[in-house]
Amino acid sequence: MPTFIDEAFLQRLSNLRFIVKGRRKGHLAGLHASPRAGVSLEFADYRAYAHGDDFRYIDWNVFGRLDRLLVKTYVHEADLPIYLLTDFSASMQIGIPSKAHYAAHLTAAMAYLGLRGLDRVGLFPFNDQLIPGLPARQGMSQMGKILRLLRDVEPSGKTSVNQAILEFLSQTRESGLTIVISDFLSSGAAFADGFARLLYRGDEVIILQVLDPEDVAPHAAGTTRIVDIESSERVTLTIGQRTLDEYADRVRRNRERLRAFSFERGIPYFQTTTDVPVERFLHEDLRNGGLLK
Amino acid sequence: MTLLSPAAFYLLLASLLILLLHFLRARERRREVSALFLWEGLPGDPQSRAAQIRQQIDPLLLLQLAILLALVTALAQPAWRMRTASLSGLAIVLDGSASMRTVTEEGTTRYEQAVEEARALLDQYPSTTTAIIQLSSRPTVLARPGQDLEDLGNAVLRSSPTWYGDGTAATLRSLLGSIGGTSRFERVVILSDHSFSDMPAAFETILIDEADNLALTGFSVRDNHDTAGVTALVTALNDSDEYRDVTIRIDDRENQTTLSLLMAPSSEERFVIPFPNSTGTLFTATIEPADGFTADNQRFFSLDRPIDVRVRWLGSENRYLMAALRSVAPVTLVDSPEDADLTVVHGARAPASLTGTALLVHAGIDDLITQGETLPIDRIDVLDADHPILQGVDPSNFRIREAPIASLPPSAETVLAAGDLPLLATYADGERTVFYLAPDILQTNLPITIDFPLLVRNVVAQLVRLPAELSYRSAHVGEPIPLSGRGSIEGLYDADEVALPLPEGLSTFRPESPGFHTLITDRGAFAIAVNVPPEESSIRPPTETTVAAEEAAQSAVRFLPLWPAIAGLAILLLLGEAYLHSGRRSLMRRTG
Repeated sequence: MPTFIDEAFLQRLSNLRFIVKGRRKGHLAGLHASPRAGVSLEFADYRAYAHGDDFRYIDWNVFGRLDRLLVKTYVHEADLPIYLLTDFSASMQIGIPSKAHYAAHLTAAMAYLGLRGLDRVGLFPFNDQLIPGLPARQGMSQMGKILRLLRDVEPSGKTSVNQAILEFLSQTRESGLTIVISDFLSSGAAFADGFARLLYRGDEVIILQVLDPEDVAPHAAGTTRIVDIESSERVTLTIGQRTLDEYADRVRRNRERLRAFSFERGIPYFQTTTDVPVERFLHEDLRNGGLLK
Repeated sequence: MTLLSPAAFYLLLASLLILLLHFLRARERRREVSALFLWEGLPGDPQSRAAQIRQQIDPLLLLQLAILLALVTALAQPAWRMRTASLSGLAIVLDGSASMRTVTEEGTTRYEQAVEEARALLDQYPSTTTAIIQLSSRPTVLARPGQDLEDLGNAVLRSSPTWYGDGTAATLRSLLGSIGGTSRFERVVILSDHSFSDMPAAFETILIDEADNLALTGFSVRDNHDTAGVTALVTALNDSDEYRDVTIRIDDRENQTTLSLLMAPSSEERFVIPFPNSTGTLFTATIEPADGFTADNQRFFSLDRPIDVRVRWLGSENRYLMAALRSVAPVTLVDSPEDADLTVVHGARAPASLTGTALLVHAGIDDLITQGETLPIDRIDVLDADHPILQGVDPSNFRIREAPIASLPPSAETVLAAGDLPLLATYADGERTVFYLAPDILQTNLPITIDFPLLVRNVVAQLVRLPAELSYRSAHVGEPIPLSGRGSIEGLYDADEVALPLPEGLSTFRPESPGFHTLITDRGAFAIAVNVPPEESSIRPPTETTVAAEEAAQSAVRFLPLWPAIAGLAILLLLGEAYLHSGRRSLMRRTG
């Protein structure tokens, strides 16, 4: 995997951070609000004073007006485990830059944003199974490990999102923000069971679909032998405009099916193609989509 | 525009390789995709053959062919001729000799090629004062020094090659002198098919087409004195680098004979060809196969028709004397002294007014030569054995019984005598030439000796005095041919039987084309065989100075090379092709 994160790129991401719905139950201090009230700069609520409370949190202004002792409570800011499940199957090597390259770029950006937000970030590359990855850790030293892993992993093998999620669940006990990055070019509900289990565990799941422009609108004409890069199965077609139109319709229907699947389960779904710069995808699509702020 | 290396276009054959590679590569298209299920079951499009071909002929192929075409065109070195040069004076000398009529392999004559070169020179120096000269053994100024390109061009175009021989440096210098001298011309460019060894080094010679030549450079015919027919002598030339099978044919308009042989490269050989069944007098020799210069593939020869001797006879007849005369030449008897070539006086006295040439046989002339008493003689003294009149004659064979006493003028020259008696003498003054044979031939053995006709022949030869140059057997185009001595001229016709002009007082004429010319006089028709000068056919390799001058002349022609621009276009096309190719490879990699 080539070097794809440079200082300037990271500088341009410095004003972004994840938006996480609801309170997370992290056990380390972080920048995400925890369901437990605690000490921080962000005011949460008032409650009646009880013995043992710290006098410093009694709101004396309220006592002066209402003659009641109320104690201010603050939001307990907890860290967020962020799990990055990135597809490195053979189909991801299609295109220039390849979808794997683009996905790695995106993964690195997500990891950087998470680590910079004092979250724990883990990377779990996969194809038809989980490729040995990195468990969630906090600190920028994790960034280096993630980059090295992204650099070293080579796309190969078939894709099985379900199997990868099952193995991921078995390796991680704590729920968190799970971002699955793949081209999701598989027929039927090849990933429904996996996502259902993730949601059941309480993970906040995000789907990022990375496609190559040729996946969406191929430039092909004439009699062509079509070969599946993962299975090596093939069909021979005489490709003309009618075939291309039919293919585009199939791609559109496939994408709509994935979008409907995500919508039904409350999973944010974002789709991009490799001709869209990663930064633009982050700043526009993910920011407008409410994943980043 | 001129292509300096047109042979480079053979490289266009490489396009076949490009097409072959393209169609071989385009035969199978393979595409790797992320997911086959999106493609499975698609119906596919029907595709016509034309569409398949259109699909295979893609822009990349067209670009590659365009690159090849541009590169090949650049290698052919296209160039524009520059028209900006100027000189203080230019003399263009067109070789107008007969050899410039040679038809080249391109189908044009050498002269036409020279004309093209001349026009190119005119285009090259549009503002230069230019003179056009046609050089041959009779050179002419086609255009006097001037700057009007149209006039100069027309003068060149209107000109045509002559049948004359080559000109020389002296004649060219003389002609240049008549139009301002050689110093007036900064460049003197000679357009010729051969080099001139005597030309000044400053004169540039551009050689026009040095093609092979097969020619007859000499031809003559002689009578066989001891057998029937004639013998032809032919000189043939093979001016080429290879052995040639040739046939030499001799034709006398009634019969013909041929000789086939193999001629060595660059050789000139002489052949003696017997022609025993010949009965004609006009001979044409032809060498086959004919080549581009047909004029020297044929040569002509005419056996002289003997000229009759017009004889005025005075005195008694003598058939022995008449027979001797007729054995020498046809004899025509005339009455008028003005029409007579020879006055024969036999056994009589001619008047003192006799003028011209006279043969006195046992006769005299009043007041000049008188004969007296006849005396027996017993010996013959040869006083001048080398006298022309005794050429071939052996006086010891003569038997003369008697001879008269004769009184001769003091200036008379006695050749034979018997003591004091003159037997054979000559005399000449301003009005007459007299040959005097003293004895009565009936009193001698002269009629039965072979020496008598020889003696008469010598007399007639002395009297008629046929000039050597009067031979019409074979002459060359441009040579002066004397017309006198054949009688009163009534007409002159060239080989095409076109009447030639006969100015008043014309004594010679210069034939302007080869072939049999005909001179008509009151004494008959005489054929004049005219041939192309043999030097027009001879082998003359270019001298070093000529080659250097030619190179200098060529280098003086300025060309604006166009190949850098075309090569630049080729590079741009190459970059475009590389960009398109890389884009396509990216696409292929992206799509598998």
